[in-house]
Amino acid sequence: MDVASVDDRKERARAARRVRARSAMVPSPTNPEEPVADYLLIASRDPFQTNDVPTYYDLARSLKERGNDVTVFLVQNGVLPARPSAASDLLTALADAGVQVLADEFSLRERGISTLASGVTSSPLDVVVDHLEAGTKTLWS
Amino acid sequence: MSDSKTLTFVLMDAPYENARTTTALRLMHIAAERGHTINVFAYEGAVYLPFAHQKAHPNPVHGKDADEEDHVLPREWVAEVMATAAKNGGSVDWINCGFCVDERGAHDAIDGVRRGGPPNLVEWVGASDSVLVIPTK
Amino acid sequence: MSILHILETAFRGTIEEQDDTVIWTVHAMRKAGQEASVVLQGNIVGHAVRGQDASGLRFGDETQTNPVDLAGDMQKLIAAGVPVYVVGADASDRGIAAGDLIDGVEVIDRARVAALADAHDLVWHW
Repeated sequence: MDVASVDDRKERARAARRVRARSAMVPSPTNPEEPVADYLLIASRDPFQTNDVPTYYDLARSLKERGNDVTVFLVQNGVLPARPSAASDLLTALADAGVQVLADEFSLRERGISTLASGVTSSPLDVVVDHLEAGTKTLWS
Repeated sequence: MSDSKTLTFVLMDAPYENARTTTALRLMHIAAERGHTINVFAYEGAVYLPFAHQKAHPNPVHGKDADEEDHVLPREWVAEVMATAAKNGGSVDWINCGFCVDERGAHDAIDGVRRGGPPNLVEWVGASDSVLVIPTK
Repeated sequence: MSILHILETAFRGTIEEQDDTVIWTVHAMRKAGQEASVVLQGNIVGHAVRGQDASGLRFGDETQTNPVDLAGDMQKLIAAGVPVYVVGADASDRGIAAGDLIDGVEVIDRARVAALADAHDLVWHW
């Protein structure tokens, strides 16, 4: 599928969501086979602390497998698995599955993390606001 | 600079307890610099973020007086976000959940904060380009 | 405009608040007209278990008179028209059988969570 037609389809879906967002009390979509959507999953916690984190990563993968564009943004202690370790395999696997994995540059610097696991890219926090502006479905864990 | 958007943030954490409050303010500040309309629904401990009676103190462990320590007061960061938004053509509408304010005795907030409840959040859901819920854990 | 609420944090502040404040907010928003569904995953699947009893706390002469009723509140939410889904694997991992759950919840596979996310306009992860 060429990039232009995917972008067109995504922009139409985003425009449709904005229209729905401005209408009060519209019925929810009943067709689970929704057009491609964008998701931003902000991960502020780390898998060393809680089992909820791998579950969150799995949600990102599942959303990607359903044809969505998915970004995982690591922030706060969520960047800890970005330092190469056994836990960072989880992030590398996400990236290999087509999920964009970004890590807040301030959170990385705060924790002295300068070398990143494969598939993880340092990013300014501004990217989150970019997504909010675009109406991306944004989750925080 | 982007076109002006309406972004709503839902906060739950009290100040000084974890990093979520700092990240939330960082995001709001970016949005304020871009001149967006920012709505903040603060409930539970987050009603203390703009609490008017936060006060700086010295740090005897580090041998610093109050001026030297220059301790963070989140109410000042909130006020700066509000001022930044206004300077850039945007705005901040900060609602403290009324029941959460009552339970905690957190009635005195800085200027620009008003009392509200879930119906306000429902209204904002319908009117926003994005809503970001930052939950406590 | 519909919201899918994915909840996982359990028994947080529920004694002092006499509610799960997230479920309370979902219910309050529903009363104000907001359409929503709820997914319970991780530890919060325990909020849908029968037989919970938080009564009896006393400090000196102060006895708590209105203790939280998490399962009852969940049933009220369902009665208000909010579907409540429980991730079955998280329940069984915690030794919770289907028969231990209150009436009205729907047990789902974890894979269904992504499908529910796609079927709602907003997804709030608590």
